[in-house]
Amino acid sequence: MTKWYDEEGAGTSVVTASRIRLHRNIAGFPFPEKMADGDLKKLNAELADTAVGITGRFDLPADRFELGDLSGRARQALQERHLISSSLIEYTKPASMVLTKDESIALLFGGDDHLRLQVSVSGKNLEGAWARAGRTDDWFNERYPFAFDDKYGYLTAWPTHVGTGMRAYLILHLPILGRTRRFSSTVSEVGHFGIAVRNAFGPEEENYGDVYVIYNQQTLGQSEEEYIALVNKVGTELAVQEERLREAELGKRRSQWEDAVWRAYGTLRYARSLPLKESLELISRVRLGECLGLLKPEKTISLLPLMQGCLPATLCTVNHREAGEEELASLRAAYLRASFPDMMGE
Amino acid sequence: MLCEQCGEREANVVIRETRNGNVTERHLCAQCAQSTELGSLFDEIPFVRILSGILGMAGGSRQKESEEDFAAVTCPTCGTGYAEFVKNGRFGCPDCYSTFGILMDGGIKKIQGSDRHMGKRPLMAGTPASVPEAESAAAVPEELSVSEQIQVLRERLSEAIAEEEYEEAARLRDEIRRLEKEAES
Ligand SMILES: [Zn+2]
Ligand SMILES: [Zn+2]
Repeated sequence: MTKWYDEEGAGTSVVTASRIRLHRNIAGFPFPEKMADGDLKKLNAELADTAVGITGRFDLPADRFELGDLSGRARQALQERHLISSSLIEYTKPASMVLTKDESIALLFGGDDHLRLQVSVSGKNLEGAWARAGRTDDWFNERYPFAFDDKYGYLTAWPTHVGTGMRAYLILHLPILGRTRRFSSTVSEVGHFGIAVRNAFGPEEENYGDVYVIYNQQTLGQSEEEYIALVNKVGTELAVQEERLREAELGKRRSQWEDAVWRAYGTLRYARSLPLKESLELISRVRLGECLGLLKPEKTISLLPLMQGCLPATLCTVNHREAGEEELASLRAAYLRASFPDMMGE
Repeated sequence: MLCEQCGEREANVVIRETRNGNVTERHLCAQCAQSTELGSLFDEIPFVRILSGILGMAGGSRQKESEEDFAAVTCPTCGTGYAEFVKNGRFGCPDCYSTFGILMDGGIKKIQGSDRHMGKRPLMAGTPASVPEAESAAAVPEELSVSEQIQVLRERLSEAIAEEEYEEAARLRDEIRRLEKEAES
């Protein structure tokens, strides 16, 4: 089944995806950490039963499973695709998940809060994600009272989520802006507005593949719509800067870029072994080439799914085996050879 | 790859640090990362200080006294004690907000920049024992002082450590160090 991110449209050349995450707790129960395993299991199961109704209403087939029944690798693979947080990989208390087959709606029961609700959509569409997240939120709230306080809003285990309990994320492809010297000062500048910028892939010090995630750091004091407007505003500004730089680069160095993107494409189509960092950089470059009109793939380059498919736990899970670095590099190269589309007029 | 520290478990955490332009890289399992690298994080910023800072009791003997006073406070609903709350930086149940809310004294405002919910309201809610009004409820938004910024970063750090986002934790720690230097000079 196609995933939500496979629908990534043309025309959204910088903003790749939008995501809303909500944290909710059911009134009358302690947060999961303080619940007896038996009680938590029962509550999780009830909520998961309820979830089937809403995914059905959206006409989205879904899988339901216990995190505890998955291998460590499978849980890592879920974390790599941001469907669960990293603290859930080695979580030992009961936690259940309802995940639509297209992965656009991920509902986690247990963990930090009773309910962690995530909706992802392609392109720049936080409003659409929020509408869907809000309907899902209401679906549960029609059946269960939520822990809520007039002053502090929705109550969560972490004080960093209290209030709206909502984070709005935009996923941006910034291959040129991200490499400029002024980018780090841009990042701290938007930090003053309460917007965090994180690497989507790669360690803190180094970004792999030029994909960045921005989100609202605060969750209390403004409405959901205001937080979404703020994230949109910063995302749009970054996108405009990126587009301008792209145009300027194309004007100045068209032939160098043309060579660079075709070389990247050639490597992806023919290499036999590809480390993670190099893979993500090559994918980024080919996608940039498509956006600049330097190469015309028969099917648009879907940045996120291609990159996610390169990640170690996902590769192991898809290939049903454990693999060391070297074997991973060859599995990755094989995956990319098979995934990259032909070019028109080649 | 196996963990460099114990050589037993799979290394699933890479910790990169830049010190004086040199990048060091260590591949560790989650357990070892917690006990070694983050051990040093814990030493420098003991958890007991993280939230007590937020609680607005930072500094000297006054802090010690207040902590002794608060040590006896326990949430009647979930049994979370003051020490546990301070250590984890997390609430145990909705009622913890009223139990520890009194002690927080604007702490949530420091983390969030506000202490008043403005957004969506639930269709059906269970309201906990009401949270006492902070006397500063009507106060205008204030610029955070350096020491308050540090407190906020410490709270984020404890969340990052608990979420096992080690790179983020390292970044926050560096930011805290930078601010602390700034505060000294
Ligand atoms: Zn180890
Ligand atoms: Zn409690």
